[in-house]
Amino acid sequence: MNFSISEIREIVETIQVYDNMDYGGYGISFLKRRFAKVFDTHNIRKTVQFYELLKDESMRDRIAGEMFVDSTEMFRDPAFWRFVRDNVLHQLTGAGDTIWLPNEAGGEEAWSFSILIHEQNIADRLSIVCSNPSTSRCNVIGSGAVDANQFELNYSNYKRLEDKDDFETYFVKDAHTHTVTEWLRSSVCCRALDYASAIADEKICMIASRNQALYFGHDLMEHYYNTLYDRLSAGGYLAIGVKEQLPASVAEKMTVVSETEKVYRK
Amino acid sequence: MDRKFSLIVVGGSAGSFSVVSKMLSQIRADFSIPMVFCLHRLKHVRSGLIEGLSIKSNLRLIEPHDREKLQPNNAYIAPSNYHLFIEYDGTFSLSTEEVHNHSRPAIDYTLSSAGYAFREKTLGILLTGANRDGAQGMKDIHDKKGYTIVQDPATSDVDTMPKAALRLFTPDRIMSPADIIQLLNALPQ
Repeated sequence: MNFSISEIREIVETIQVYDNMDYGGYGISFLKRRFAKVFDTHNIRKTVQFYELLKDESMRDRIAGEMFVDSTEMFRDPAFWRFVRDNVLHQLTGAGDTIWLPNEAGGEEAWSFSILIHEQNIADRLSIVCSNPSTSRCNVIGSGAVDANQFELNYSNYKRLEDKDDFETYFVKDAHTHTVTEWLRSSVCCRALDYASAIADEKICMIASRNQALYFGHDLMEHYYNTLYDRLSAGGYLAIGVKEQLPASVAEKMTVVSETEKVYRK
Repeated sequence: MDRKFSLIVVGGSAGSFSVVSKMLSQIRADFSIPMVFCLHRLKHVRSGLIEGLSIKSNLRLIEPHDREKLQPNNAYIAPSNYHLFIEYDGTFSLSTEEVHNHSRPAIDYTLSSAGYAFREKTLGILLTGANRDGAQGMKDIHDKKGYTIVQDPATSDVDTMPKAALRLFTPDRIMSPADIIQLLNALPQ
């Protein structure tokens, strides 16, 4: 489907009455593509069909999950992971500190962090919390399922870290699915909450939000990053996508740790 | 040609590096219309392409960040592992959405978005390549009254991409790389 801008605005306005379906702050061109994909997935021809579908709570949750974009692969941008391993992880020394992954869509970032802190022998003093407003997305992450078709790509990224070669040992495999081992899974907690309410009590020593804000309009992006900044402990690290830019209101309050890998410190 | 353009978008895949390199080294140094290149490239290699093309380029080459504004006198290259879109306000937007035609960046996306945003002010060029990505994007530019040039399949290292476009619509011109460069240099700035 090819939506007009006015059709997108009408859809956004109609569905925002539901929890977790407020897309008012998202970029219009992203919404055109994403709604087209959702309509295509569910074979929806008219917006009234879409509205009818949304009356079902479980379908709403599923569609809210489908609106999120996956992280594409584990260890995406190997140079970023190498930098974090060599320059950031061992600075996160406080016992019980938390690495937070807001709006985590498929678990790829969570499993990458989990493997990395395990290999650095610091898993006992760090916890990984990811969050996504969609319960179905959280269930997928909680199951530890990883797309088997992505395995070679994930593995080739991992090999570029040039450290260990234990990748196979982190998965239980069958014909169609690879599942993260139970002990690795137990190091990650996923909460079905939006970014503004996901983390309350933990001491957040690092937030990784890579490529999540690409789809936001300007105002939502400002609010998003300012919220992350407020939740981050003093001295904590913020990582964004290598082609993203922090809004000036947040950038001016942070120290640049790596301009290339887009890592900042509060 | 007297027609004035606000944006030139170029798609290419297998065999296109040498054509793009020639374009950038033979384009006049005062060429002011922003050029955007969407080339298929390795996902995990972030550096090298810009550096390689910059050696002889007459234009400043940039891999844009999300929300960066298009500026005259610059040539832009889609970053690896991101889709690159042109927005109505003359900015870039990046995306990690699903691959399209097995590609990220997908040429179709860059070309189509340019056509929608700049309409008849868009000049689209499709070069040599080994899959059909870019054909639909060129047709979208054509449908929005933009000007379209497809590299002559006879001069293409791999002719799959230009032939896919030619099967979909009739472009304004089918040209060799040398003639494309000559046309670009004659465009009013």
